[in-house]
Amino acid sequence: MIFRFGTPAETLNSPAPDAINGMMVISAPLRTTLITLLFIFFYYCSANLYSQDLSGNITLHIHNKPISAVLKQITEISKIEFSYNPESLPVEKNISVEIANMPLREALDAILIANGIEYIVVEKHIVLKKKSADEVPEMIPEKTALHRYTLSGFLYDKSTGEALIGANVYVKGATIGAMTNGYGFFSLTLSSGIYPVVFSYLGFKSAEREIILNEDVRISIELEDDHLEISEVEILASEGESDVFARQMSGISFSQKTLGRLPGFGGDLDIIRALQAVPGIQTFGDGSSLYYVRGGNSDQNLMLIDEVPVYNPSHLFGFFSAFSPDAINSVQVYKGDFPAKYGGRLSSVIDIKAKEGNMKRFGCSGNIGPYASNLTIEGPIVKNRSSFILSGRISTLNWLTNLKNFNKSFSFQFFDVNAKLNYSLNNNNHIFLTFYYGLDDFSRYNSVEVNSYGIGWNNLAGTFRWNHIFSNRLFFNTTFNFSRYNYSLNLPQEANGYWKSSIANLTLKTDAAWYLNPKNTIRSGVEVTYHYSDPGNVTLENGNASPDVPVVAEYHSMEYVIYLSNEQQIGKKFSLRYGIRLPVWQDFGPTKVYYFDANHKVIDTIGYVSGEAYSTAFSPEPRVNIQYQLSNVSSVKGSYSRTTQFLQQLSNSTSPFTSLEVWAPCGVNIAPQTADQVAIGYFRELAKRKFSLSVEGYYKWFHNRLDYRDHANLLFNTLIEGELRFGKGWSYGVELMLRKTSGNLTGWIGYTWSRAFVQTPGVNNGDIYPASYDRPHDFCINISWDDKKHWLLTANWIYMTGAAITTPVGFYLQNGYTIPLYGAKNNDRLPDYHRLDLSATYHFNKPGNRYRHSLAVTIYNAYSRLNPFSVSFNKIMNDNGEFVVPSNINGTYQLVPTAMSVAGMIPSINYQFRF
Amino acid sequence: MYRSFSSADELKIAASGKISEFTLPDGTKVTLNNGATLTYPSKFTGGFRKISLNGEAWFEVAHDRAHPFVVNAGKTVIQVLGTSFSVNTKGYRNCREIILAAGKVKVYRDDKPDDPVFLSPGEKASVPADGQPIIKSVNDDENFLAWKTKHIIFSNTSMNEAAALLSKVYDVRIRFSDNRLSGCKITATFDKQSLESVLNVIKVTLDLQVRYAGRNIELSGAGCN
Repeated sequence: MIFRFGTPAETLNSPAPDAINGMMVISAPLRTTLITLLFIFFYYCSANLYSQDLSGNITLHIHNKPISAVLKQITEISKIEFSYNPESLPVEKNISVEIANMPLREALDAILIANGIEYIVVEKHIVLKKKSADEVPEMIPEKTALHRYTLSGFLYDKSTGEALIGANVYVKGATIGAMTNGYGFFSLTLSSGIYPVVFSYLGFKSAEREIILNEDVRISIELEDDHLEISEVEILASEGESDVFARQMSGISFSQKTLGRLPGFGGDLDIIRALQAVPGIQTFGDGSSLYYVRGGNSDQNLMLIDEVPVYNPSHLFGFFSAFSPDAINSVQVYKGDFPAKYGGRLSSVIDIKAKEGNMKRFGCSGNIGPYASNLTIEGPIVKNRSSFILSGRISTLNWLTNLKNFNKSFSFQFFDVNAKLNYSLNNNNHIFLTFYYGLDDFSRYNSVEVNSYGIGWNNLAGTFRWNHIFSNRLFFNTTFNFSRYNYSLNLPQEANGYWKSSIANLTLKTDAAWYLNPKNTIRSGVEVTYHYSDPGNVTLENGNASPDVPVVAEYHSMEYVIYLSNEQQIGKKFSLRYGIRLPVWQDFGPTKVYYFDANHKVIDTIGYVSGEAYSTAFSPEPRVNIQYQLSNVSSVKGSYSRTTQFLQQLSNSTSPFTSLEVWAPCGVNIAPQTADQVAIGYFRELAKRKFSLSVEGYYKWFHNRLDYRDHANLLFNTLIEGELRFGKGWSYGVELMLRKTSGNLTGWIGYTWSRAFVQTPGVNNGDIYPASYDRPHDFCINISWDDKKHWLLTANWIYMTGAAITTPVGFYLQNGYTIPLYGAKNNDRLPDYHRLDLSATYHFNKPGNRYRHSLAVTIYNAYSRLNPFSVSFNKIMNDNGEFVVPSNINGTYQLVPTAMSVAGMIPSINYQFRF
Repeated sequence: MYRSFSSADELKIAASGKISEFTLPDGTKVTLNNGATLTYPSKFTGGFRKISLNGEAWFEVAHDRAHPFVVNAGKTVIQVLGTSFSVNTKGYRNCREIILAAGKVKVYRDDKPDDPVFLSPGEKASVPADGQPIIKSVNDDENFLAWKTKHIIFSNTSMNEAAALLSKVYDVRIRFSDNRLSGCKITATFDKQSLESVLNVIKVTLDLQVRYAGRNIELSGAGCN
């Protein structure tokens, strides 16, 4: 349910004021809100937290002295006090002790247990008791009211200092554990005691530490890279990359190590391409950066880089992702079961954390290839405290346009630059600064060499983040970010003008995680965002608006969100995550709003002044997840999520090439779209945890689903909202995935069977029709073989049912014209899509060398299947066997359906280096 | 702590409900245990710095050789020669007990000033209430200042003694539900811990149960063999 409120306003005739580079100055009440919030968050200044060193090892050389004297000696060395009944223990027995550099727990075991004494940690003491025959010693006594203390800290990569995200911290032999968050921080609260704690992360050697927990302990652990082998035996018994234990379903996560094995293009990792191989996620086909998740449209996906949304995640029509893969630390994908902190899009969230830069030493890496090259420089500014990373990529495609037989000249170019800075003020405060800019330009020059048609887009984003650790159990992250995406189309006829649409946002938010105890983790946050959208206006070369084209009003909105959720462990087998997200959306002037009647005719026009609110929507989003651990290798999970989308992309073309992109917020004529998703899944680890199997089924209901009337006109249309129709949609499916993440051979096999349907009054006669992205069968197999020395071979094969398209059911002649006759919408299918990618990478030297380099040969679409993305019915075959649009319109002729595809086989050879 | 005027130039300080620290006009630091009262002049005049004490207090006397510091405790007089010491007017069998940590003190009955006892650090003077001679001994009570420092050392200590000491230090009443427990012995050192914390440790060490009823605490258990 959604609550909407309209604000009556007076009709005004004032023109929209000038925009400053497309962004409006923030109105006064807004400024106050933002400043107040800023003030509140910055109130929390750094605190100095008492931290203790880890238990040191002890050395004792004692010859023939009573145990009581030995205990006194231990107290002197380690400052640990003992408590015992001297009459019940043989403390006057003489013993000799020879211990060199042993951990305390082992020393106590050696001295005491051998003499029939067992020990237990209570408060700040070690209580000694006589070893009882029948009692089993418990390290973690539940019955005594012992104090609880918190072990917290960060996990880092030893060689670079990068935070390890999603790493595991657990008590050896117990099921108690925690996972590091998006900044490498974990917090675990336990009863006082001495614990063997294990720290592990896939691709790294596990570390074990003995922790004496008789007060709060803060530690920093560095894990060493596991170059030589990922131990197959030691696979994790807890969360992280194991689906069975993860508190999340409907998702997949990639760490640094697994990212390196994903399919790429041009020797580069491509996020979208990699995700295409994940069940439940489909791209349209070749050359497209659009992707669809569980029956949701392409604008229903949120991609975040360091918490800032990115609106176009690809360069060059989807062949290259928008940021250098060298710069990524981890990727977390959610197809459903969304944690309460995410919202704003209906179907997916891809949360990418970029690397922070090597904290220890200066490093440089690069990738030189035929289509694009990138270079990354990183290093410490203050060793172990502050670092930077600078990453840039540029396309080198101009030689390609001269190769094919284009009779006109084309120019493709793109570049991106990513700069980050981070600084640790102290143990409890870290700040991060990120800046990103990416640009694409695709132009076609005519013979006169004057800039002709062309499209281009650019993404600009920046974030400032501040981590603050309040206490060992309370972690805060405050983010201030902005993002702006411009899409432009060059129009030579318009006196070298251009049509441009843009979308931007400015956000201030804070997220808090409260690790209350091992059974409860509470997450909460507040977010305030200013959204701006220009649905597309024409600007002439001289900077003025075009007089021939109507000015489409810009949109301004504010979004306020608060969320709260708890992750709760109930008993040993059940866990529950429940929460609610409460977003409020408000639209503001200056703008002009058109009101339509039931026949979609304009009946009223109302202008709103700057800062005047005219439409408010509220849409509570409950989120629930419940899990049951069937055994220590299998689990069952179920979830329900409601999501709301206030900002949607208007695009009536299903072409994979992002055509005119227009983003419009909900308002008077557009209700917020919502989706409800239920999912249930079974997860199991097989063959001693070498393989993991997941089977997941989902059902989604879409409400107020955005659709378009037949022949909708979205270009230069001030009454654009009148072209929209709203209905409902639903999708369902089953996803199967078998994955292997360790050993030389890794990869996965996935199969999805899914359907997606739409029903919109006024479209297709109100009948149900399949969505264009309804692709019932989706099969993918991804394998990589790494011999850990020189070779890395990967193969990736994808098969999808063809996209749904509308084809004519017949033709008729009228006045000598052949006219197609259409029936139901999306009545037909494109040919099925399948493609094989292969790559082989040869490392010239072994891991561990300072300078590492390799050569990668990649073949995209190895058997060169020309997968069509579009079918036309307007061509005939001429005498030369070519397909052309008939120029002689008179006369009867046979129209032949012709398909267009993007690319056949695309090879690439890349040289990569790192030092 | 409160101050009152008992005569024109005399001031009185008392610690009620908690331990109180105070600095006298000459710079001497006094820590009064709960229930103690100390009387002193607003300004020290004359050759001596005289104060009166009832109860238990710890003194850190400011150096002034020209003006010896004198404590009048009941009918016992303690003359101080720059030092740190403890005075308890309600000691064992109502003795006045004076324990010296540093410096030197002279203890005598106010009616027998020529019959003093000199104490060296680590020594204790017990002044019986009934007029018997002052007994000088070596202080064997490691915990004499535990009420102030909250540093408690139990070394082969019987639970009877331990309970008594804890009762004094934390101002509670600890009793045993069973006499078997009183004979249990314990070796443990506690430093600035809360009573609950100390009892938690003792509880696990001797397999006791602890029942709290306000300031009354009852210990029960199977006892020790």
